[in-house]
Amino acid sequence: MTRRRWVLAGGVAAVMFAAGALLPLRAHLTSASSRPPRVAPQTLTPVGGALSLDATIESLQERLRRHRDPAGESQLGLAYLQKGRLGADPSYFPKAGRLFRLSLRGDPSNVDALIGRGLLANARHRFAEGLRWGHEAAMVSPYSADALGVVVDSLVELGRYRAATGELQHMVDLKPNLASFARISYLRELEGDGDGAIQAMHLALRATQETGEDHAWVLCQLGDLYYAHGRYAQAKEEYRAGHAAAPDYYVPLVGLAKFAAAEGRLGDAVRKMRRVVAVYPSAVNVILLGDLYSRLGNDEQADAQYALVEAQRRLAEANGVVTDVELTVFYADHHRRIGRTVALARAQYDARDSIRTADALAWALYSAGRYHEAITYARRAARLGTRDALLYYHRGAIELALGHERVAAQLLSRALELNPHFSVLQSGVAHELLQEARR
Amino acid sequence: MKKLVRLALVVGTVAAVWAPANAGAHPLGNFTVNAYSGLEFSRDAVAVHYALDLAEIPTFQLFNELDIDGDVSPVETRFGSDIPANLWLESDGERVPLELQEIHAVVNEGQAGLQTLRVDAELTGDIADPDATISFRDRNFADRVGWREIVIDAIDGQGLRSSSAPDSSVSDELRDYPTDLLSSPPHITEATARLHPGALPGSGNESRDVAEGPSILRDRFASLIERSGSPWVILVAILLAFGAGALHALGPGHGKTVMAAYLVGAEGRARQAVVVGTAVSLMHTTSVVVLGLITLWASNVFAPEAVYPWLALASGAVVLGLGLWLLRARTATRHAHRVHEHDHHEHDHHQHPHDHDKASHARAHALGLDHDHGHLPDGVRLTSWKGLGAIAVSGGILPSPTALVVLLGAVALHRVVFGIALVGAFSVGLAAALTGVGLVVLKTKDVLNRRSNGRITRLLPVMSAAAIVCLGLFLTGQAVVNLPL
Repeated sequence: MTRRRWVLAGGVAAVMFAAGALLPLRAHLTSASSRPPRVAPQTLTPVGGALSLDATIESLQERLRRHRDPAGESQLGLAYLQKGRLGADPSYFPKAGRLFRLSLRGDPSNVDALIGRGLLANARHRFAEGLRWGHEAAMVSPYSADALGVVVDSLVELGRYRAATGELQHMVDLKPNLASFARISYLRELEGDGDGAIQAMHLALRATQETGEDHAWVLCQLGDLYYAHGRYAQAKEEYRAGHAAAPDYYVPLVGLAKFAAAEGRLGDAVRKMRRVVAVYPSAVNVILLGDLYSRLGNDEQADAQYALVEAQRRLAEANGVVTDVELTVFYADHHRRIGRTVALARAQYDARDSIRTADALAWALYSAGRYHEAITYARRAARLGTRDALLYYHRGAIELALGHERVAAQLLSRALELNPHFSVLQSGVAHELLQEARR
Repeated sequence: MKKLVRLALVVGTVAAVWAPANAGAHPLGNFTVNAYSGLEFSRDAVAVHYALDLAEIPTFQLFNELDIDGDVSPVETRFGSDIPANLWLESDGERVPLELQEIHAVVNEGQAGLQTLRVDAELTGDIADPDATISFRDRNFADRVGWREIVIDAIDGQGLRSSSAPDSSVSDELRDYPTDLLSSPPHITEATARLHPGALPGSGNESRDVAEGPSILRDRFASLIERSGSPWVILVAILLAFGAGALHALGPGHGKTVMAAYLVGAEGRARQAVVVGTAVSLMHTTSVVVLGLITLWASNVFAPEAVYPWLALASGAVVLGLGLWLLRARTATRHAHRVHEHDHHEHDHHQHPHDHDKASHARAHALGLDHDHGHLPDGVRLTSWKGLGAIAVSGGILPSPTALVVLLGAVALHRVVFGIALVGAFSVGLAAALTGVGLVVLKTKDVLNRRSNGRITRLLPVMSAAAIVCLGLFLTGQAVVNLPL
């Protein structure tokens, strides 16, 4: 398998070189014609390389136009996935899915196509399905770190953390790279090892040679980790570096907006988030902008943003996409659609018993006034000892509602010590509740 | 390639924020803003049909912002001023203001009870010069994800000398998006065109014009490497490579002209033609292999395509040097001719038997018993190794990109020997064609020579040397212009 992929890489590189070598000779004649794809030496080695994504896509399309082959189809599918992610252009995802299916029809054991289907299933929050594809890929190719990556992601989201840790150890032994270190970082974070998480993300950063948006993305992951631990100055450094690496990319802008809000510069934060939402109005981004407006007392604008969130949810449901846990928490935060939110959170939790789904269900139950049920799930969400301000805050609020002032005060102050600006709106509520608990 | 997998994998780790569109959703996703510009040039004017297709979410955002509930006239007002302001049309470097003639916004039912929006605008502008060079840029919704298409056409006797844009829409003006798996949504926000009355309307795009012709051959040769296995296939592949090399030699460039001129001027014989052909072939193979190695192992130091202009310069300089050297030697020779007129006649006499006795002549050559054809000043052997070397360099130093691709492809496929064999066959084909040309030229010269009683023979050396100088100047000049400085 590795050999086949290596051959493919070489073939692609050769085709690319054809374009690269011919264009300079002819480009002078046309001058205004398209830029020649950059030829990089690494493309000829199996490690992967600096061949631009667009050039890769173009060459694979060209190759498949000449004659279909399952390997090319799965590679193009993976390239589409990445293009869709980086460009935030979802039209690539259905295409990628169709390519994976096509590839598997030609070669039912094409490992890249199996991995691709797993990635897509996970992206659609169908983690049980993702796990099946991941297992199948790992069976075909037991030494594929990428297949294990799909398995790990599915297991983590399904709440099977011990199994995930075992597979992840396997994965990092096979390949200590960005993909495995980023996952280690996430698992360590869940287990309450913040310093370890940051350390792993630094290793991930060191393991990348990416530039532009890829690089910015990793930097922002690190920035988010610093932010979650209240290390705002360091977070800002990473967001800034990310912004410098990719000035038009929205992810670093979100980080910088969060940082501006933490410093109390709300107007600046709004300006940044407006830019983000004008380009990439994902639910999470729109909620952040709405919350910022709400903090500023501009309820009309806040409601407009929240209405957009609502529209997103309706579209997602119409498309059969499983709703994000973040959306459940949003509804609970704003006491909207209480009954339905509890039902939604319950369904999410029943499908997978993870830290996040347990927390969302606890918070939905809390907003419905069902505190006794809520505390069960809030404690369930604390089972790994995750050090996360939002989790502390949710559990603290529920304990307070149950009359456990001392525990509540402990939890709420822990949340505010760890990350005083963990949420644009809820941090303030946490302060009030803490005062109440101490009284 | 692995990199793709690796990065794609990170998607699932933390992100997973996008909702992939399913059947029934907007074909390009709920976030997209899609734009189409159709430019139609007539003799003195341009008409632009501009269309926008906003999917559910941007429509929702826009209606939110404009506080719209039912009546879409605020949308028309907004876009009526925004669209022309963000369309940048230049004719010969000067901005052409576009005037809005008409605008229509239509709301359609989208998914989940949401709406989508389509806007159609008609704009016009004046084009003063019917031969103008046009550039066009669409800056509406520049940051937004989506389809961006530009179409340029001409009507009413106006024509296009060239255009970077196609002359018809692949999406039926945003009404029917292609679902082909092998095409990416276009993101064309800029286009250029050159107007010319009477030129074929929509004569297609510049880059396509350039790539036509040789590309068929190139592709065929490059695809040889992908064929696999049996001895027959290998034999056929090698024969095809040979043919491709021969055809390649007959294309423009490749020192063919230089060699012909050189052979004629230097009074070369058949043997020299063969030697030159072989030398070019060896040089070309070496050159391909060396650049191949550089590409494989050293290109993180410099980009291999950057070598091309310099090699072209080297090739041009060698030709120029060769030409100058020959010119000097031959003007000296012509001087010598006058002094040794008698000798020359004698030589001509004694040259004929050679033609009837090729075998012994060749043997004499092989034994190193060659002679200087008498009439050259001492020390100037025009058919010398130095001269042949120069021709080999000028003809073979610039590796054919096709051959290079074949070699790299073979390396990537672990078929290095096969690849080198194909490149070798290609080079031999190239050499054979060059030698053939040389022989034909020599034969023609002999015929002419006999008819004109040797007058042409006396003039030819200088003329051909001058021709080589001119060619050298041209090649060097072209190479200098193309240097990436």
